[in-house]
Amino acid sequence: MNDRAGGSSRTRCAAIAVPVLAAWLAASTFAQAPERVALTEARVLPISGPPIENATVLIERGKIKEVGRDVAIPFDARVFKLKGKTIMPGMINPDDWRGLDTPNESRPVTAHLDAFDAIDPSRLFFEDELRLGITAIHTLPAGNCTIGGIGRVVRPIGLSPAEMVFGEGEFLKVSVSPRGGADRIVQLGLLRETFRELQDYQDRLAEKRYEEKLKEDEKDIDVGPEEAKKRGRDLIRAQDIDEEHRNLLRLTGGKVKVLGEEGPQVFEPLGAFIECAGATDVGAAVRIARDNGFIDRTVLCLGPECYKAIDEIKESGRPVVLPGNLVYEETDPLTGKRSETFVVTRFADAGVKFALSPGSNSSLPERMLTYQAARCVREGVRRDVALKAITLNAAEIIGQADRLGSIEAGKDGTVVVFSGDPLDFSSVIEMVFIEGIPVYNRATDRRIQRLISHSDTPEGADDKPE
Amino acid sequence: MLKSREITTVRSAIALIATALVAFPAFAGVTAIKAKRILTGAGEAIDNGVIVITDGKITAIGPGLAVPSGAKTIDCGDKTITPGLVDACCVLNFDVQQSWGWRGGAAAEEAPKLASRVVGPEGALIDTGAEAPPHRDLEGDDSYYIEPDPRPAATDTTLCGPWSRIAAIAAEHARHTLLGEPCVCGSSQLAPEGESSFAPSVGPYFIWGDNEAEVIPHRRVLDSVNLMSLDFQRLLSEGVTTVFVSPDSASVIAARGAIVKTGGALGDRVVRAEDAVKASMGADPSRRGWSNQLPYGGRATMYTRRPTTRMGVEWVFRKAFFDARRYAAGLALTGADVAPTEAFDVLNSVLAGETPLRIQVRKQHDMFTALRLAKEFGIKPLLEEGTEAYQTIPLLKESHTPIVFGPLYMESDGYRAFSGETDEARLSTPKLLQDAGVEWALTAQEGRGEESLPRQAMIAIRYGLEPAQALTAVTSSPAKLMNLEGRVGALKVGADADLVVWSGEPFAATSRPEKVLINGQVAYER
Repeated sequence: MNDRAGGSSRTRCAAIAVPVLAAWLAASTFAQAPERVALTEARVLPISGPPIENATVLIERGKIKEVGRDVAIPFDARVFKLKGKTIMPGMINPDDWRGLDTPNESRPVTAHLDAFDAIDPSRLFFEDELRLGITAIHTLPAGNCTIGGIGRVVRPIGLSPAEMVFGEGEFLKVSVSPRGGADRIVQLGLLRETFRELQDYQDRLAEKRYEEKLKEDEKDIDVGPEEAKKRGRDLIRAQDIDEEHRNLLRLTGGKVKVLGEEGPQVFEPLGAFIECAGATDVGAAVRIARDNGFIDRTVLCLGPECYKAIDEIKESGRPVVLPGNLVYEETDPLTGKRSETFVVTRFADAGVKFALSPGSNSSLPERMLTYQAARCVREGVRRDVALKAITLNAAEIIGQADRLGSIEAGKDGTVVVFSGDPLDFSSVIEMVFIEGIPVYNRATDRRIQRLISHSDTPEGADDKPE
Repeated sequence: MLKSREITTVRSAIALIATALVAFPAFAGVTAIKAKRILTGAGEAIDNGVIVITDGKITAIGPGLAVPSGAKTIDCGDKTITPGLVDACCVLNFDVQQSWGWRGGAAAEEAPKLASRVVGPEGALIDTGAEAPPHRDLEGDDSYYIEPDPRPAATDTTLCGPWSRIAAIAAEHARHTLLGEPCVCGSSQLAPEGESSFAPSVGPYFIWGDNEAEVIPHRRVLDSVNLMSLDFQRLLSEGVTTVFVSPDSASVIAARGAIVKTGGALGDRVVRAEDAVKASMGADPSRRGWSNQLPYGGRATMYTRRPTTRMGVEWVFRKAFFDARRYAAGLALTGADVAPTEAFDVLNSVLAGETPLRIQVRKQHDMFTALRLAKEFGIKPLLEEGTEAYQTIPLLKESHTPIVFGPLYMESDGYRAFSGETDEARLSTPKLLQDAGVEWALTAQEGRGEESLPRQAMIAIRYGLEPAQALTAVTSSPAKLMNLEGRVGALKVGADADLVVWSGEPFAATSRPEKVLINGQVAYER
């Protein structure tokens, strides 16, 4: 969700709801991953290929072993017969701050921050994401920042951030749209200043390191500051750089020697999720990313109006995360003529790679990614394109395509079982598997059972052994 | 389920063909619409159906009817047609701009599409070329008569006429000003001469709430309704063709709602200018009690206060009807906050069963209160919203009380979210109401877009309602509750030709209205 203020009042209302996640999670999450799980007789939407009828997905030690019509089921596999059901990959929420305790730090440039420290597993948000079949959430600081910190990809299960995350974060949140209290001059000025200061910082460090080296070598050669800065660059060690500059350096792809036992290494580069609330921000985002060497690792997080910059977006070649609100509404200030633009169609027609986000308000349907995809189909986007936008595209965009986004051998055994076609609004999510573990079962989902019951003691809400 | 009905339909269709051939020889003004499937809204499905429309009314409907020669034909191919949707408790959306500019250049392009003939400055008739003729009498209400612009023709446009509503306000204002009277139209809204905009789009509470008094059934919400509001266009694009415009729930006994169509010629829009009186139980009138202003200014005191509790709300309701009875009997009225006598005329017509009464209730105990009060005064009310209706189904059933239920939500938003009355919503309520045999209809209230009426039906289907039942709940059922049976809500002979052509299965997540007809004219096309 591209939420400038870090959440609408509606979202905040939702967040106030008391999370009673822990007890429920304790019952479901820590079930031991079965050695082998076979999901059989189902219709499988692998996303990476055409649908397969009456197919089996065999998961072994959390990874998909085999998919297809003629998969031999090992005798010791735990079998789920899913006749009439549809299996699709777990969906991915590509950019969301919810799940963190607050959306943004009050300082504008906080590249040293890591979402890991703010992930709150007890958020109702995670429980809800799981219920909606979203099995990976790219948890990033919100866009009310200049450089907001590193995000993490998390599973919506686990009792600690360490259990939830998929390894290290790979993207920094950057915003070219003005944060609260700033305007675009200030915002872009600060961004440029930050990268210029990074150069100065490296120069200062280089000069200092060069002088230290001279001292070590007991030499006294005055080459002048400019030459010292040049000669000292290769002398900078990892431990010389503070955390904020380290992440900025990783963003720009700067190479720094880590003089470890295994010889010189460079930092892993970071990518950027750049917030562009308005169409005017797209050009600035591309320019900043290009000037500072991270355009190839940039994802544009767009507001609804950004479809107007479709040519610039296409030309940049960068993938985009579309906002939860898929319709751009405009009333002509002169004529009063009201127009609505369904923005996804524009991106699909232009051939830009995009991922969809769930709606951020409490609207019942929009929170479902499958519904967002169904809206796209309603407005003329091809069905396979819409389905990709909530799975494989998102996985590629967040850098997890080797594990997530499609049902293929070698990927995580993370799948969602629907009662019918995922884009049919009457289909419900019956089960969710994360890495082969059955983590969600609608029949034992107390909240859903309560919402669709008519008494205070919902039927079927008691935990039953599976 | 449709088998036996199909046979009946075929039979009636044969009869209809005959009727159509005899009664409607070809002449201009006849439209025939063909579609693969027509869902009539009255529980029937017609395959390869044809609807013949003459002068805005359906004159024949059935499978494979012969198209009268010379009729304009709209072939919808393999699409599905349903009746235009009916929202029995529509709250016009505050977020949507309520009016266009008064003298904007492009308004000149838009306005002529909305009425065929308009009265311009100096009373000159201007032919706009639109197809529908303007109606001059709206159930005896002549305030919508298209008035000449009261202002000199200093503007660059001659189309003040089609803005009949605005012109009517302006004329009234001019008359009041001439007579030196204070004007109730909200004179501050009227732009002084030479100013470039006319903007009745002041805050929502100005338009919908009335903070002056708790008992105002003698007022009409229609006076606040801008028929040019863009919200109507939005409703139209969502397939909603007839709405009961509900007043705000800020007063215990609020103004009278209006029934209007969402599109078509302006003169044809108002179906009923003065419809049901809306009352509210529970937190809505009471939570605003503290901030309500007294007629003469200043804060409410313990002597002349607005209700701040449910007890107070109930008291105001009871006292109003009690006073109405005493007034009718010629007895003196006592106590503070006596409503004006015009209010009692309306309340007595409610007591006589001539004017319908609606009561907004969310919590189950408010439903009990509402029905207790109704019983006390011998009123048959229509309940609205009914968040906790699932808890009172036996009560609704036994008392034969109908309910306009909705919207559906897990977490409410908008002003409803702040009432504290919505914590115990249930998604299965439509199914429960349906299964229990309660007379009910579904409403989206202020919901638009993904929370609009067709999406409410979509959600109701997800949580157990049959698609056919959901269609009824947004077409013929609300029409019946609004006493418009036979006119809207079902596609049958004699009904207004209000219908929706869907891109796919109605209410499916992947389909939407493609074309909407009102009174036989295309009012919206994607």
